[in-house]
Amino acid sequence: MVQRLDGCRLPALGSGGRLAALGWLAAPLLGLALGGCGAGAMGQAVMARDCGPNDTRCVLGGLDAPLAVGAVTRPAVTVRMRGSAAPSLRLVSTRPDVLEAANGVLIGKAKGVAAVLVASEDGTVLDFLHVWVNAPTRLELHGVTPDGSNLGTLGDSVDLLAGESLTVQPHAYLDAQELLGEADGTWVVEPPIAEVLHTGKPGTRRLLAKEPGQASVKITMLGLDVSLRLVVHEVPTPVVKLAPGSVVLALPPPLPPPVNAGAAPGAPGAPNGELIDPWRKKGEPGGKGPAGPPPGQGSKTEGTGKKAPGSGPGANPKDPNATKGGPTHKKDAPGKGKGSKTDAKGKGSKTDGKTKSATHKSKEADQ
Amino acid sequence: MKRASCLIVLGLLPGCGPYLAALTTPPPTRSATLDDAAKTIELSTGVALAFSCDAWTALPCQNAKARVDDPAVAAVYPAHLNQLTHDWGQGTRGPRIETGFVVAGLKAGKTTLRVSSDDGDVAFAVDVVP
Repeated sequence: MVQRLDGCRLPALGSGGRLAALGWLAAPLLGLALGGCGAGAMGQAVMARDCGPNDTRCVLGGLDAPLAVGAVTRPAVTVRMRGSAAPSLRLVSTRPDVLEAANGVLIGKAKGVAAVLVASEDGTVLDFLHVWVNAPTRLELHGVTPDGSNLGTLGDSVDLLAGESLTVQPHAYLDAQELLGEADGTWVVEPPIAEVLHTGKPGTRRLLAKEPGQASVKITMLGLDVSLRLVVHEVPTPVVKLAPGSVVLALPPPLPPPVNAGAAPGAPGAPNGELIDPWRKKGEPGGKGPAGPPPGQGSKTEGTGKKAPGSGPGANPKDPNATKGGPTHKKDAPGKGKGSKTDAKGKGSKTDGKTKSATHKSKEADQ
Repeated sequence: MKRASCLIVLGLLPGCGPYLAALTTPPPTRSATLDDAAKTIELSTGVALAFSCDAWTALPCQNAKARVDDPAVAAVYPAHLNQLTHDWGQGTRGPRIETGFVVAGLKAGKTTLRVSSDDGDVAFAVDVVP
C-alpha cells in the first residue's frame, strides 16, 4: 500500500497524519527554491539547473522546459530522502539517441522525450525525471551582469563607450518558450571594433568595445543566427563650461613631499628631495632630529600623561611581558625625537605597540 | 477482490502471486500504464514507470527480482522506495520497506517482464509503443 508519487511533490514525511500533510504543503515552496518543477516522479530527488546564485531567472525556471537539440545542461541533483544523504549517483538516459547523459551532463540529441534515471552505483533507481528535447526555432540574446544576473532579452542595438564591455548570452527559443541548455557558437564583429572574449561558460561572451564606430555582431549557434547592432562611442573628455561672470576659485597646488628643510645641504636628511623616515635612528641616512632618551627611559607623551612605548612594560628587561613587545623590536624603541613623540600619543602608541608585537610574534613563528 | 479471495483461502491457491501497482504517471501525451488484472504494461519509448510489488498478504514482496526477456525493448531496474508499508498485523507483519522497480521503454516492440520473489512469481506482457 503505497501512496501515489507524482511529480513536483516531495515524499510524505510519514505514512499518514500531520507530517505527511506538512510534506505536501512544503513541496511547492521547496520546488520553487530548488528549481521549479524539477521534482522526480517518485518524489525522492529534485533536478534543477546549475545556476549562478544571482541568476534568479535560471533558479526559478529549473528544468521546466525542453532541452534544445545540440545544447548541453548540467543538472544539479538533490536527493530528498528521510534519514539518508545522497549516495554516489549517476544519471542514466533511457534514450541516448534523444538525450545523452554523460559525466553528469545532459546533451540534447534529437527531438523526443527520455527519462533521466537518478541511480546509485549499483543501478538502484532513486528517482527519475522525463526530459523533453526539441529543436529551437530562434535565438535571443540576453544581457548578463558581472554578478551573473540575467537581464533578459536585449534589444536590437547596444551602445557602449570605448573600453566598456557587455556580457551576452544567446538563448534558444521554440516559439514563445525558452529552451534549456547552453551551446557554443561563432561570433563575428564586423567591422572589428570590439573584442569577443570567452567568459568560461559555453555560449557566453563578453563584448569589449575597442574603438568608436558601429558594427554588427552576428552569432551563429545551434544552426540559427541572431544579430546585434553595436555602437561604440568615444569616451567623452570632461569639459567645464563657465557662464559669463563666473568666479573661478583656484585650488592651492599640492604640498611637496616633506623634506628636512633645516639640514645643511649634503647632510643626511638634507633638502635634496629625499623623504624623511621618522623611524630611522639619528645618524642613519634620512634620520631626523636629535636622539631621544636611551631605551627604557622614554619621555612622557604629550597631553595624555602616558608613557611612550619605549617606557612601557616592554622596555623593562625584567618585566614579565617584555617578550611580547618593545625592547626587542626596533620600532618600539624610544628616543627617536619627533618620531617617538608622535608615536607616543595616548592609545595610539599602545595600539602601535601591540601591532608591532603581533608582527614580531609572527616573525618568531616563521622562524 | 482477487487479493481478498486469496486472503480467504490463506494462500492455498497458487495463482495468488505478487501484485504490481503503478507508482508514477507518464509525461503528457505519453503512455505508462500497468494493468495488474490483465498483467500488461504499456510504455512509450523512453518513458519510465515505477511500480511496487506486494504479496497477497499486502506486505512487500520479499527478495524480489525482476528481468525482461528482451533487454533491447525494455529495461527494468530495482528501485529504492523511501517509505514504509502500513502495519497490517498489529506490529507483527509490518510496517516494512516497500519493494519496487522501475521499468523503461527503450524501443518499440513487445517483451515480457518477469518478477520473482519469495511470495511467488508473475509475468507481465510489456508493449513499448513509439
